[in-house]
Amino acid sequence: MLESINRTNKKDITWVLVNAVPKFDSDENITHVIVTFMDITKLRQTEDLLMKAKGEWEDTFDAIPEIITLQDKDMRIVRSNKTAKDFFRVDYNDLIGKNCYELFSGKTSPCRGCPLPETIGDSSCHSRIIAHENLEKIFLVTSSLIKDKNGSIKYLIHIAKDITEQKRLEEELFQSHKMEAIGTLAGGIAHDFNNILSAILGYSQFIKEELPDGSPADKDIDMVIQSGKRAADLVKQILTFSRKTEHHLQTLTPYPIIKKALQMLRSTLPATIVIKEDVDKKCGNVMADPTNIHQIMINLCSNALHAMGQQKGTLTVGLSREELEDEDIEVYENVSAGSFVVLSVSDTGHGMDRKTMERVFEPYFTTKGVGEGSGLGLAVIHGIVQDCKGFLKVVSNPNQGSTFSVYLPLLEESTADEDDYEIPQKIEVPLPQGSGRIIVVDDEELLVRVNKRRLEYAGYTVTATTDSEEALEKIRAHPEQFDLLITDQTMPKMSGVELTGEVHKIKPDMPVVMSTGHSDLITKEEALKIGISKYVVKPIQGSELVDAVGEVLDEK
Amino acid sequence: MNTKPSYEELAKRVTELESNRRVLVDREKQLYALLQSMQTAVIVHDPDTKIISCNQASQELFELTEEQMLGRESIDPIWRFSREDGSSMPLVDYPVNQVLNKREILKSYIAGINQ
Repeated sequence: MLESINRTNKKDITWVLVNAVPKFDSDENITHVIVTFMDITKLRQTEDLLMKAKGEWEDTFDAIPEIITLQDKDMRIVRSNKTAKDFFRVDYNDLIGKNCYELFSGKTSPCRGCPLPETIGDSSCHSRIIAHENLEKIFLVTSSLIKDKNGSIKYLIHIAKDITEQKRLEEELFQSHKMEAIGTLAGGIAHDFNNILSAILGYSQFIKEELPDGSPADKDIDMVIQSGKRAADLVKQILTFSRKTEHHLQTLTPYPIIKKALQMLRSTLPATIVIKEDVDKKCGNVMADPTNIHQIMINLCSNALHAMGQQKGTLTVGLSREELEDEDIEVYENVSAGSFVVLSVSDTGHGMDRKTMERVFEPYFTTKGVGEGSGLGLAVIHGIVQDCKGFLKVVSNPNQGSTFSVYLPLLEESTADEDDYEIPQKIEVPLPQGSGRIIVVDDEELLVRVNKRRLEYAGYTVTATTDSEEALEKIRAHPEQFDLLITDQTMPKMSGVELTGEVHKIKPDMPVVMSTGHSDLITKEEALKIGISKYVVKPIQGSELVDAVGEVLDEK
Repeated sequence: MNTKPSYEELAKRVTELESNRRVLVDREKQLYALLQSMQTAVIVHDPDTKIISCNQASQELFELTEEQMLGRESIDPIWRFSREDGSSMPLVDYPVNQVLNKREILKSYIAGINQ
């Protein structure tokens, strides 16, 4: 029967809205039933599409990781996404009708700085950063509104994004850029200052040599020289911070250095302070300058002692090994993930607040009183640690002490001397005497003159010039008349390295001594490789230059 | 005073009736045309669920001709209704059966027609 019926073979369903009415005769018997069908397939399809779109929109709304609420014109929540529900930890129904500020901070009026009132006022979008003190979180709050047909407010939209982590990273990056800028500036100043100090110290030395020993003027000039040397030390510290000094990096085991530094500290310690060691002697080796490690220890420990003042306290020195992943070190520049040797110094002193912590590595920033600290200690450590491709971490809270941890990359091979190291000591000796013909070139007029006099005093015959090309011409004209060249590195026209190259073309066996304040431009190793016999760092003090010249000429 | 109507009176009455009949026929034609031309599908069943009348729209909806539809009962497999969830509808829930069983109007009932 069915087969006889001609039907199209559609699988779709036609949706109908059915009404059916029975009709009765006078005896209440149904005589017939009228059934009407209205095709609502299209309507249903539209409805399905709408439902789908609604579902998608709701899923998206819920998936947005920001806290979003729709509020009425009185700032009562009418709708929120899942993030908001999760954040406020309440059921959806408990959220509706509440004021956002009531949930957010338990207040009875909008939070300070909330951009919503402003949006209500001018109908435009506003953003503000609001710190939530109890949660210790920072939010970026954005507000906007939806109007109805009549142009009055239908909904207010309040979006809060947790930017605590982003802020922290920004701040760290800002700090690191600031430190770099300060470093560059300080390094530049220190370099020029070195030249000036070289002249002051040099001339003072000459005056001293003219004066009878023990005379009042001799004592005065000693004070000048002493002050000059202090200034030179300071410059050296600034250069260390700004990473413009040369470090003698070597493989070393930190423990012996720490042990020696602690021995030194113990003798000066008040009885109220206890030193605790939490040391893993086998933590491994690092590539560092032993003098620098010693300095790190002394600086950190003296800060720790200062933080504890005259009170009782414990200074803990730790040495351990830590494995760090990429995410642990992402904010530090030039640091690679891997194994680190961690030297930490903790105190039980007054600790630091956030503001202080942000600035501790800035040079000349100090919380100590006048005359108690230079403000350079941590800045210097910062420079040293960066040179070793490590980083510094500080943990501190007011009245809960501080821990400074120095992270230095672990060296895999173990070739360091296990026990001893010596911090080089400078020994002053009387000026040696020598003979020979020297040509000196430095673009600083005063320095040339100081060096000339210094060398002449030691018995040498000296030709001096401030022009590198003139020096080359002089050598070219009479190569046999000069036994040695002393040159600055950074000069106009020709650098010290270039001049050395030209001179060696004329006279290949001519010894060259280089004096420089910019040791980062050319390292000692590089200088020696290109045929420079000796390398002296400015400011040249005492008999350094004469010693160097003597050594070179003796070798010859 | 019941007297036999006169011829004239009878003639007048016949003329009246004939005129009324024509009006009724015209009206039925109009209603039929209306029924046929409306977009809503209309089917009239007798108390045994047999189709006694159906309009053009219902024929299009079920894709059957008037001859194919007339006389069919609800049990006939040409009816294949679905419920809202898409599942197949039991016979007892067919609109005409609901009305016959409950003896009351069925309103805004949603059903699917499987094509």
